[in-house]
Amino acid sequence: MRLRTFHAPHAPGKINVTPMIDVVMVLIVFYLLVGKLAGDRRPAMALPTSAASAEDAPAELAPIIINVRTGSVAGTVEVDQQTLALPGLETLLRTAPPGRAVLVRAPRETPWGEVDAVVRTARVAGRRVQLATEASR
Amino acid sequence: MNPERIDQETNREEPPARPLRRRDARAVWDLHFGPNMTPMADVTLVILIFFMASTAFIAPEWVLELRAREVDRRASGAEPASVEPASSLLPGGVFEITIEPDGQGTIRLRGLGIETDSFETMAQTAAEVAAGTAQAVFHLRPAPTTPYQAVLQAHEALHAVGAQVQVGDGA
Repeated sequence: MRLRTFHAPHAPGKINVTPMIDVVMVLIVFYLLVGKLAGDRRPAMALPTSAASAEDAPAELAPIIINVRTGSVAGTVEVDQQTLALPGLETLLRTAPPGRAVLVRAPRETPWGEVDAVVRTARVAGRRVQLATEASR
Repeated sequence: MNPERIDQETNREEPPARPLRRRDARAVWDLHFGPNMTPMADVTLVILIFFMASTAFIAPEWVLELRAREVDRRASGAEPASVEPASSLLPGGVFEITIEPDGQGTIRLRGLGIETDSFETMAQTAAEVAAGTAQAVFHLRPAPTTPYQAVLQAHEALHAVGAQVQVGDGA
């Protein structure tokens, strides 16, 4: 039996915007999620610059991002919005899946001693270490 | 009910006239089915453009592979490789360069037999040393108070002349 389909009355000369709104909504949700995740993992900071970093490739696996903040309690870092002391960081790095590198993000005016402490901790935990720098051409 | 009209020439009845279709805004609005999507589409597009633009402003980042020196203290076990003057190089040497800010905030570089505040001067000296040494490695040892940017600046200057650079001590 042939079924009759119902067509809503449609004004002549009008464009059906429903598919466009569907697509736009999906895009908005996508950008919301991407922006939220990126902001959580990589807070804005003035990273140092280095032309030498243009030649190094990022780690294949998603790195463990360690943020060293100026003005925070000395000897603490942020990982996934968690504030950790260096012993806690070492424990986290030892228990994280192997093969994931460590990406250290620190403002350019940070004393090297604070960055070095994180680097040493990562190396003690057997992690490959990369430093995040500002992209510049 | 319209009165029937008869064509005088053909003597036939004309069909009753259809009422004219209203074309005013209210009549057009009456043809709509469902809610008006236009304001929502406007707002949605503005939000979309905002998120697209803000995402583009999140600057891309590069990474610098940190090649720290493994614990390879020389025979004494305590002191790292000594800084050799450029005139008496040993093959396969590791050359240390210390970085330290002085009291005025100037970054001082010491190593390879010289002391300077110029990254380029140190890099040129390193290039000369590297030219006369098999597999020369330059090991940067920044003081804890050295600004992070200065460390990477020294690394960049040495890297630019083709030197192999390590930063910090290994685990």
